[in-house]
Amino acid sequence: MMNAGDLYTQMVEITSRYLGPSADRFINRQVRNHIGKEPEDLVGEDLLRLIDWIRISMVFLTDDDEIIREYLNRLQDLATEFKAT
Amino acid sequence: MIHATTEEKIASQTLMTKESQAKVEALLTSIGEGLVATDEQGLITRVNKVALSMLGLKKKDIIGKWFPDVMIDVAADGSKLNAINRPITRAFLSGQTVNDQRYYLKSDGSVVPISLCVSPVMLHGKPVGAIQLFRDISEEIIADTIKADFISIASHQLRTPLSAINTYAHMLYDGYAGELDEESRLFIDVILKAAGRMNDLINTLLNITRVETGSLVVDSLPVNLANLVKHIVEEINPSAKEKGILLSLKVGRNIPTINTDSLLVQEVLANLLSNAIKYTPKGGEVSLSVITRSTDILFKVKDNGYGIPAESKPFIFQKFYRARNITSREPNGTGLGLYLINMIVESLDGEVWFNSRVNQGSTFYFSLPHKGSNKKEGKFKLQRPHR
Repeated sequence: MMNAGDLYTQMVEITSRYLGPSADRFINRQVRNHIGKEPEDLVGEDLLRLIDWIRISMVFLTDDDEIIREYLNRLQDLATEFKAT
Repeated sequence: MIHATTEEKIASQTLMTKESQAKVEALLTSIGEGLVATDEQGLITRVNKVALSMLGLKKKDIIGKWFPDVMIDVAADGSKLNAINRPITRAFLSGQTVNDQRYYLKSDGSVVPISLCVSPVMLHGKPVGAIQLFRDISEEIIADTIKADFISIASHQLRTPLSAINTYAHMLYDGYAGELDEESRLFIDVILKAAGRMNDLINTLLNITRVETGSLVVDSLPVNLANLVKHIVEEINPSAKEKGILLSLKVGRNIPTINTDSLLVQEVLANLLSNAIKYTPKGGEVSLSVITRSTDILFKVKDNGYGIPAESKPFIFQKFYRARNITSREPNGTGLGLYLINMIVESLDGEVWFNSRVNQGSTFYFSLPHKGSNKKEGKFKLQRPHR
């Protein structure tokens, strides 16, 4: 059974492929500021709400649309996986 | 009865749209600060003349271009900064307006110091772009430098008579001019404490000017953080005991040794702990804990004191600011401590934040990255106050 802490950990793992060591801080801030939850309380619906904020944060970090699309698709898949469980 | 034809209606609407657009353009041109707006792809959609003039660019150089390619954030020496630390990124990470002072690279390669305010643009609850206002603060920086030099000179001049007061008061206390009665010792104690407070204030003012003018040295040497926090608690414990406050320490597992400036880290923690003790009533509790997380080490200073009112929270790190519920209870205070902490933490490449409830207490968080603090050249080391 997947628990909420897994979602956060997997989000950070996916993000670290694109942002490196800044990934934890990046996702942590997004979760606390836009969802108002602790990372371990995150659920699939929260991630779907976060994606708009993550997307617009990423567009100011890189102009590589393909990378952004790939990253967001991974997060979308993750959200779907956690929503279903 | 006259009915407008379809063509007349379209013509009228077109005219109104053009007028509205002209008014918006006039509004943007009239703003005395530079304005840049982007869409949700980070591409610049609007810019005003003040912004173009500040950056030395033409409109065609900027409209439709990617924001970070045009608004190039640099350090004072012109070196580029980490993208994730840019104010606009922070605005989207927090969902809130970010105010900051930065340097931008102009088209001629020179650097302009600016003060900026950047906010996410929201539509139906979703972020759809950003808007940034900014202004050239070159003249203010010159004025600040002159002010800093004055404070530095004045502080050094004040130390000389203060040193004499301390030395001779200590000599009197130690009986060099003859044995003293109890009352005389009490009076000299008061003199020494007042001189100590004045010395601390001078140190704080000097430290602030050094941080503000970038002349503070930041070392990057191996520091055993577990030992450091134990040492700080030992240093601060006497003042906690004096007030009947229980001061506790919790050190997590695997606290690493990182490359940072030991003096500056000590100053941050000592200041946070002193504040916690100062703003907690007798018999209260203050705790310091430290844990290691995936990318940083987190220090937490928690108290069950007066707390910070909601209306004061946005200003708590501002220079000279003291919350109203504090000034009535503790009239002695400069409002410089948290301002200095914030600046020191920034120079250590760390972060500081807090949460608080009135009459329930505050928790201040301070984090340092595992990769440590970058060494910064400067002229002066921090002067730690006497405690």
